[in-house]
Amino acid sequence: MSATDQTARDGAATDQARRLASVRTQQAQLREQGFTGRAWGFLLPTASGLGGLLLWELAVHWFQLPSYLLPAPSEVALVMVEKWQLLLDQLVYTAFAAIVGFVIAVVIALSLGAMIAASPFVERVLYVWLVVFHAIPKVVVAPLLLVWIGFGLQSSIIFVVVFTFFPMLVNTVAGLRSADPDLLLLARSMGGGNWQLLRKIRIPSALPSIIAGVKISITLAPLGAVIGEFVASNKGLGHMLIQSVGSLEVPVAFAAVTVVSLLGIFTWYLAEFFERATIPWHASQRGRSGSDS
Amino acid sequence: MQEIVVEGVERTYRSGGRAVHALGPVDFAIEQGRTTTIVGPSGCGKSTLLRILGGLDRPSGGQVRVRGEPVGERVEGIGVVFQRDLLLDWRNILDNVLLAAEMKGLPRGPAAKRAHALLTELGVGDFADRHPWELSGGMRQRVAIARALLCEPWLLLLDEPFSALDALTRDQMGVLLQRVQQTAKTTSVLITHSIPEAVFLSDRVLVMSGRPGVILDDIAIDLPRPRTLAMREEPEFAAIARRIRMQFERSGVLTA
Repeated sequence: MSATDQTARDGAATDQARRLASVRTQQAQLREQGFTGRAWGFLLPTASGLGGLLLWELAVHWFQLPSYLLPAPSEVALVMVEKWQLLLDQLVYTAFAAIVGFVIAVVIALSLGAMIAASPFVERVLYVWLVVFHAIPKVVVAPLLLVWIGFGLQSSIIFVVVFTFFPMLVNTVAGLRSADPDLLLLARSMGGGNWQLLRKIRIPSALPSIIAGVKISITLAPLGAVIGEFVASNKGLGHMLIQSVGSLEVPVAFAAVTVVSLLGIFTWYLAEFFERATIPWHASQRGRSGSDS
Repeated sequence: MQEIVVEGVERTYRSGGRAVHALGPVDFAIEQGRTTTIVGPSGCGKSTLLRILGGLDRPSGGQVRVRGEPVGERVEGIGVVFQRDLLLDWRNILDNVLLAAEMKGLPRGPAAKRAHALLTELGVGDFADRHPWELSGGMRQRVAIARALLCEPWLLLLDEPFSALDALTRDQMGVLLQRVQQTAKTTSVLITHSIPEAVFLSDRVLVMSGRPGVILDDIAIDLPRPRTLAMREEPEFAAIARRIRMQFERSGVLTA
């Protein structure tokens, strides 16, 4: 190796070190911007939310609205503190119906979806029924559940199942069918049988779609439970809501609505967590785990 | 030894109620340990032919015999590299390579050792625990080649493996593939659109016509190995490339 080569190489090395250092500062700057960006992204919605509540509070006092028309946020908060035991009881009841119904719906949707994706015969037999079933406005036939199934928890659970299983079913079928044909050909060229193709290619390929369905459905579960309780229950947040509206206890109704909403928000984040845990490799999840690799 | 014998193989597709005659009839034999390249215009049925060789598609007429036995539903012990790398996003690089062993139900330990060795040989050994989306196109295709070679196939089928890569990466991959071939001595069938690539990598080139694809020319390439990229400028190399190009011009695939 000649001396000029050596110098050139040293020069290149220092050059590279300098470039690396400048890249690092740039990254640090970006991170800082990212932090302020994130702080901004957190502060602004919070300020917006609090500002809205404040305006609501002021409007109620300013126009002297009676609480049976529109209770002030402070009044709703007060009711929630006073009746926390009652609200918690109703919440547990409603959440239980939602969870049990949702789990049943997951089992039905996944197994039915797998069967439909696997067999054109099953699809042709079931398809028309599923379409009809989905087309029926479920809220309208809810009172019929009272006649068929009777009063109580089981009606709520069945209503949750009916409400939530369809999005998961559709997405399971679509997901299981979306496996790349070339990928299946490749796996077959490796000597893989049907079972291995299912386990190692089809199911992982289907997961993002299935989880998208689960995310839609899981937020519908509390809604299904509440609507079930409207018509066929003497317990739960839905029943509480209907009753308090009937007796013009509007602040109580608002409290119940708040708790239902909190339940909905909680299930949404639960679904997000589930999504991140099961498909960290998916394009939608990359860079969200916070790891650098 | 004639390892694979193709006899009067044809393929007809049904497309919108119409029969499309895509391929053949073609007849040829492939020698053991040799790299045979099929060049031809798009739609000439060369990918179909490759799939038929691997038992992944069935001919409408004729038959393929491997070591005397007619090919049935499946050909055991082959490695396939497609134009797309087809790496699984949910597996890291090592596990992607190991898919080939899992599909055959082989134990993980020895397979993982061989996978590491192959990845290192192909220059992507440092990326074993990365995920596919973190690698460039050329690196991903190296991983796909490692996956195809993992179970020491007797037949390697390469379906336009480098056509999605840029020109430089492509040359690099050609050199790399030649080196791997030199040590493994696997019987290989390569499909490409690139005349220089065909001449560079092959012991023999089959030139195919447009649809329905039949064999126009069968050219033995006796250039010494290992070949270098610089050899592409030498007159022997250019002469073979010209012969292939003339075939395309004569059949109207290329117009001057």
